[in-house]
Amino acid sequence: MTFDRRFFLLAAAALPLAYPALAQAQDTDKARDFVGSFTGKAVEYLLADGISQSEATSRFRDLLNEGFDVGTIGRFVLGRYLRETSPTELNDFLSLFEDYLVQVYSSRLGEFRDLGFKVVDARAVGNTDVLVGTTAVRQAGGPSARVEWRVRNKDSAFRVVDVVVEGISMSASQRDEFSSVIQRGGGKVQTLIQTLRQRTQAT
Amino acid sequence: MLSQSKPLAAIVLALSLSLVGCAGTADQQVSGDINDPIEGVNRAIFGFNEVVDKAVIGPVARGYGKVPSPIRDRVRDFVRNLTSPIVLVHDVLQLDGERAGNTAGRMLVNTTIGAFGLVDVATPFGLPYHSEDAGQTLGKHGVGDGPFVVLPILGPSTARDTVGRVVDMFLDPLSWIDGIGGLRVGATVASGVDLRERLEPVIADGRKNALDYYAQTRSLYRQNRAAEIANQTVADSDLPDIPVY
Repeated sequence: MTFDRRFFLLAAAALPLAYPALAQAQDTDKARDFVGSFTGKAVEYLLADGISQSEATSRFRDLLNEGFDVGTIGRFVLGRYLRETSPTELNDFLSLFEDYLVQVYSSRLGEFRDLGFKVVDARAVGNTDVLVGTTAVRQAGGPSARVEWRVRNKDSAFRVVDVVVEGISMSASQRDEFSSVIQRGGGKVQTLIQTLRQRTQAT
Repeated sequence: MLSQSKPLAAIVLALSLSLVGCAGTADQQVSGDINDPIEGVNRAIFGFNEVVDKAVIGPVARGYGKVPSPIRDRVRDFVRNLTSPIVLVHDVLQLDGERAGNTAGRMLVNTTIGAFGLVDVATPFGLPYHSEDAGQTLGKHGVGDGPFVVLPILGPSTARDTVGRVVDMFLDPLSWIDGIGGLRVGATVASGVDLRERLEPVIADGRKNALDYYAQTRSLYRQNRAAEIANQTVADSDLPDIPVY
């Protein structure tokens, strides 16, 4: 019993050395700064006047990879089917998932015109994340929406792992939808991969 | 009006109660379990609703969207004032004194100064609007969603929320007043059209981009209800658990 306890304590003490990213408590101030500057930069960069649709799309892809942890989000949206996904399938999926996100969101860019985000609060979530609350307002006025950005500090950089709009988690919604597609395809992740491939290559 | 709707209401109530037996826990949305035992039936009704929406409701809603917004705002304010008695009932049932006071204050101010509710003068006064219904009260008191249900025309719901709808038909203080039935029906239709108009971008996007529009609707409905029940304060336990990979 004593031996087990000492071993356990030793292992626990060694944890921060093995996983330095987890050792730091979440820095909510830095997280707030990140969200404030990233959303400001994104709105300006994506909605610059005079750029073509294909330029806007490529800018969106750059920003997506810079500010969002697509690898984590992609694994999360596979839900319980992640375990059954082979490494090759996972690579296929992640690449198609990124294409899908670019296709879906860059077509919506027009809606984000004159949209501004104001950081209002932040709190730590779990051991690794910070939920930064912002208010999304249109310059033209009208109702505002609460948008919360869940960010994670990995390798000294913050990246977004979820966006919660008025209480609705975008990552959870995507996971639920993809789970349904996989389930209806007989539990095979390939069904989802094929569907994404058809979708993204149909343009 | 009430005596005609009773048999239909009783049938809906009985069907919903039989489904409540499959009630899951409040955590199911967080963990991603899909509680949809009658998914086949639901998808069929969803398909039917889509046809009706594309043919009738959508065009009506888009037409309504072209009505100048001050007029639409008057309609919305009037309908909200008309439904404030039932909101007050639920604020009280949820033991929320502050929100009950807010609703009562709104009723008074909007009905008098706000010309029978046509103008929402209470919000600038510091009394913002909030909605409540029997489904939210049940949820607040720990009743889980239950299985997902798609209602004809009315759209996505859950066993608990369907029971809630029926309960509200009887609980609404306005339903106890004779002769006001037509006004209540009109208000329900108007608020339905208004809501449909406001959801137009979400619906259009879902139809175009979703891989499985039904599954997306199901997920959004559930999460939205959970947020409404929590009065928009998202607790950590409501957030999905995103592991470090």
